[in-house]
Amino acid sequence: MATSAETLEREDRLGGIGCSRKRKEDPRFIQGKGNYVDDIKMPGMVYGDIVRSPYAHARIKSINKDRALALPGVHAVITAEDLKPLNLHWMPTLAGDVQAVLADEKVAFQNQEVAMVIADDRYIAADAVELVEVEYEELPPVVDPHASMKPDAPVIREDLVGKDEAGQGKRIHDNHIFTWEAGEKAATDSIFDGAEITVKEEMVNPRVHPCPLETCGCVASMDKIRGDLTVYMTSQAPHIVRTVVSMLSGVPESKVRIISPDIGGGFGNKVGVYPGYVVAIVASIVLGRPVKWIEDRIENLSTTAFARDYHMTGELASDREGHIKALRVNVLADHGAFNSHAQPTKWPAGLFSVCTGSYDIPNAYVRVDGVYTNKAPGGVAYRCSFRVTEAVYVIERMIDVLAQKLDIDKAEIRRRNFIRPEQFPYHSALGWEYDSGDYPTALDKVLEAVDYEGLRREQAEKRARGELMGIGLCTFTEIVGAGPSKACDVLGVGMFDSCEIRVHPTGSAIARMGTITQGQGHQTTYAQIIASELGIPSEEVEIEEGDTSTAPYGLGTYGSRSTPVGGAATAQAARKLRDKARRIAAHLLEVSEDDLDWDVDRFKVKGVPGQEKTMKEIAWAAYNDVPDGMEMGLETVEYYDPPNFTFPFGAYLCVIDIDRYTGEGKIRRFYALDDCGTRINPMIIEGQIHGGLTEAFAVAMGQELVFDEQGNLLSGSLLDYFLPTAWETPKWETDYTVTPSPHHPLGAKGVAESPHVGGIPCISNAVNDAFSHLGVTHIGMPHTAFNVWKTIHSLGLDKRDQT
Amino acid sequence: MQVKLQKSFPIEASPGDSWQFLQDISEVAACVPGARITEQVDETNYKGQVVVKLGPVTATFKGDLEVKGVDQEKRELQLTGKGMDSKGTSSATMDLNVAIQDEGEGNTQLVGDATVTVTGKLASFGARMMTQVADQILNQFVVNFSNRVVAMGEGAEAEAAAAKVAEQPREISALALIWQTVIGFLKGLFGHKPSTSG
Amino acid sequence: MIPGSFEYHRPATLDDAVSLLTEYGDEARVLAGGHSLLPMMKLRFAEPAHLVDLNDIDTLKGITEEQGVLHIGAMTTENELIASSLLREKCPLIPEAAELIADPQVRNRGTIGGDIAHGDPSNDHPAVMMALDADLVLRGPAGERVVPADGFYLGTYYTLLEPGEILIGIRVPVPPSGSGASYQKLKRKTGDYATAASAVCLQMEGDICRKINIALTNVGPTALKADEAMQVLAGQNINDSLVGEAVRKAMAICDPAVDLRGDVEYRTHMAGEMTRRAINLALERARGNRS
Repeated sequence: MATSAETLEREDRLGGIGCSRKRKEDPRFIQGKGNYVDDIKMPGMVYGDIVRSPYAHARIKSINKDRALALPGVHAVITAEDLKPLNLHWMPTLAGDVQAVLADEKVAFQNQEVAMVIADDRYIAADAVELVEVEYEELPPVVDPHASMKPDAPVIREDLVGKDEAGQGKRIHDNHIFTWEAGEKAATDSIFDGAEITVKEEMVNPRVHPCPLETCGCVASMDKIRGDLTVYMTSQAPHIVRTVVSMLSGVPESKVRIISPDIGGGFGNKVGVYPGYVVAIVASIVLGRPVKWIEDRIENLSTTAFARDYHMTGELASDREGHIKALRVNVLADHGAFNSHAQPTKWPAGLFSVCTGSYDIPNAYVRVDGVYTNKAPGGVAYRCSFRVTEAVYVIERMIDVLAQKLDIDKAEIRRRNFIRPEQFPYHSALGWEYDSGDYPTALDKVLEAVDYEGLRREQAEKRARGELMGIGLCTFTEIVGAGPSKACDVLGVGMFDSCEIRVHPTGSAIARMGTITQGQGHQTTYAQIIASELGIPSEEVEIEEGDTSTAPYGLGTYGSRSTPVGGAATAQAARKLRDKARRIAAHLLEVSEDDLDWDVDRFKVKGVPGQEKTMKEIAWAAYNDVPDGMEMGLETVEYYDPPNFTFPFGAYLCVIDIDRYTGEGKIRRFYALDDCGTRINPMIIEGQIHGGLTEAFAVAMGQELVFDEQGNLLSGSLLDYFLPTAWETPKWETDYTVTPSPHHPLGAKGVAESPHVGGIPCISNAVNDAFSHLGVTHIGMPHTAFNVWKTIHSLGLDKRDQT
Repeated sequence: MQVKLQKSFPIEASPGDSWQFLQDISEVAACVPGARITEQVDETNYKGQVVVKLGPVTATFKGDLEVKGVDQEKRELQLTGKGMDSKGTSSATMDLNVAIQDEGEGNTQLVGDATVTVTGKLASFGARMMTQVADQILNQFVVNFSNRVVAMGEGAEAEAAAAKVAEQPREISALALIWQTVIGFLKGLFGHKPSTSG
Repeated sequence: MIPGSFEYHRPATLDDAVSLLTEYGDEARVLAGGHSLLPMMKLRFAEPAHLVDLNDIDTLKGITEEQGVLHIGAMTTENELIASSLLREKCPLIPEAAELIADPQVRNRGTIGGDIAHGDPSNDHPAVMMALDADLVLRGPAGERVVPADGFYLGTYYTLLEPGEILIGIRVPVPPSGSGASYQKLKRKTGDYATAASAVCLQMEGDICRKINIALTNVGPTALKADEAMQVLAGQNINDSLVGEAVRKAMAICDPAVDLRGDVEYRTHMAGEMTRRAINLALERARGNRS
């Protein structure tokens, strides 16, 4: 049956799934009317500022608060000693470890929190910080994870001495946290022993920081009369924070309210609970006044949530035609001074075992060892699912190394090893069930779009002239949408998510979610899902998130889980309401439910034109004329626990020209094809891909938290920490295919992290490709001009003809 | 971060005078621009402070100075100074090895070997100027040292040197004129380039 | 990132500014655009008790030409230099260099005088002014004096400025016809200081280079005039081999600090590479082949 023009017009009016609706959030942001944590002002509010350690490793001999307390306007100076009676000087981490809230007898990383000053204003607080006298006894710092595992290395965590585990299995050294393995070691080793071809490469995913535009912060307000604690917080997971705060403080969860207002980017930086939050809350409880604590940029970069720092050795075994037989990866994971990587899977290395990638690799073995160093704690998922960027980097780099060894084209070797479309659902050697995919189609579409053959010809000509041009490919598979509660939980709370929809009598609606937008455009896209599922125009659907007192419990937004989990909950909730609406419509039209057809925004009686009830009419009836025995109202809540992760994928290609005298790389072309299944708002997807690629560009080309041997962070401001602007950022070309997820109610997969995960190896592969004809197999990130020049100079490529 | 400096300078005084002067820690400390000993704790331990001024930048370090070793034979002195800035945000340690070398014919060479280790905010955000600071302090130190040793002697030269000592500024900030004098004094001397790691 | 407390002064006249500086001496700092000083204050590396803001002194702004000399007020912002059609026509090197400074926000506030007087070797104008044979006009309690930019810098943050003295203007002789100039700067990203940069200004007479100035940014304690490199090229019919020789001489005077921009070897090589590019482009411009 052809869709009538009238139906299409009604569909159009809905602004539902598939439409590039303009972002509902933008008018307020563009006009400076966003409401961020630092915009919140409360009567009687006081300000916290943190005294931090200049040393990366030192014993605290004494803390003298007297001079600080004597400064007019200072209310309190809080130290570990003050938190001890409350048992809050240490706090549990999500990874089974503990973390010092304020340094207890020793500091283990530069800028570690030692004390918090509470004062009348931000300026007095900053002055008072300088007046707190801390006497330290310097200890030798360890900043390199390899050095940390040496037999005579200084012990970083004295609180763990004698303990043979730190929450994630057996420890083998005082600075060791865990060993985690996946796959079959013996079988994999034997494949390597007998392989025709093997390649091996050491590579590092440098320590980086998500660096959202808005830093972390909170306003904690204890109302002593009502006994309520309200905390405004830049949190990607307000509900779980409420649970944690309740557990830590002893205040009943019903008396704790966490509000995440507008958030200026998270990228994994705003998942965890940081010492600053805890002390601000304690201070508010003690003083009975609202306490604001906001990080500055230096504090953000140096203390809250680094990402990566994975030191990996990748190996592939193949036959002479490049068919991969086995993958082996060993990782030394630097977790910093406390194991507080905010990740909810049951595995210490998160989803790293997705590292067989898009390839049908029959045998694989992975081992990850986590270690402590005198660096800030963290290990968050920076615009990716947990350790997926690292996983995709190792396989996508290694397949290039293999291609180079065998002199097989880098596109061809991928084709030879792809999981074929008919193999889905595919069971990987490391235990994952990939839901859906069509990798060859995606790759071919990209190669055709950029004239891959032509680019390779151009490269050959340039190489003959001594010029450096690289072509990078990346055909990645992501794993997102944490997650099935059988695989993921936070402190025992399963990784479901939720949506509550209430349709008002006049037919508009409000929906509240357990997720929280930080720039993803939830207020726009969730409304589109409800529009399509429930026939209410998206313009008439309000989306609310972030207030734990009103929103249903949810696990928050990170790991690309909003659409896969929250979006599914939304669709399911809307479908529950549509079912109820169908019963009301049948009652109003005096027909059986089976006689009704759903048509965009109304139920129609089959075969009787004109006999129909719109959602608007049904909504009104829901509040005054429902069938006997039916509850009034049109409202429901859905808690959705996904049956599996989703596996978005893509094919990316990058062309880079390298100046052989300065080492500067210029990305001339970047073509990104993404497949995230059903596309809800193509414009928002494009925006997400642009953002993710830009962050991938940042990581590949410049970002790194650099430490010297004393443990001083040398890139702790935006002068040295690379945050690309429009000036540096290349032009992105985007494309897509659509391979829906079979298990998601809408077939959608999540997309915002794919460009980061796929973009980093793509750019890195391009840089490496520029040197591959010279026998170079791996140059590490970040590919700064200086780093690239070192390779150029060692190869003598910058020599000029002496005339 | 760590800055390593190796320098050697001619001193216009006898090796004996120079060595004698070098063992007077308070006097030697006074050659460091902006530095002074505030207390002698025991035979080898002192307390003191240094005011470092470089353009608009000011930092006051307070700390301890320890004489680690004195080798009368080799005329060599080992010192370790450790200090924290008054704000508690940066700290610095300097291991210094100074020797007086007899170059013959009354010529004396002051040989210095310093490792300066900095932690905290100054290391993280001031690295760009650390080498310059260390270099400028050391350069001014040798000028002052030389003047003070020469001033211990007699005659017109000593008087001139004494006059210069009197002019010595309290801090490294200095007047441009004096700075030029320092530069002039150092031009042509064979100080090694500083090396930096960090 | 909260500065210590300070008293803020905003004099309306130069005389008032000079007397404030004289009164407060070492306790006072001059505030121009503030983009070097304020970050230092926010880090509390610098804690002046008094800030003397020159932004209300109108006489310190503007660009004029008098008898073949360009007069640039010290408080002229980078964006005003970039927008100046007079400079574009008479001395395009200055707007070319200004465009490479920091980022648009900084260029809106940052001034040429602040950039020159701060004494930071990573600032761009010092090398440019050395290359242009510019003079600096200083005004203090004892009146006005004029000093050449070449020789103004004594060390990192050390200049010829006496206590109480303010840089009030810059005088740049308009390069004669047959001149060509270029400023080549390598930086990691917009907003960054130079990894290395080179300013070149030369005059051609037929095929012969009559005069050439070369000055380097951020590869020593101050901006560096590359005298020996200049001598290699002056009076010569410049060819690649001579340029190579000049580049080697320029590299020989580099003594860069080590930071995340690169090690000594890289930054020295980049100073050489920027010098090579600046010489070649200046030559092309002098010959009228490139704008």
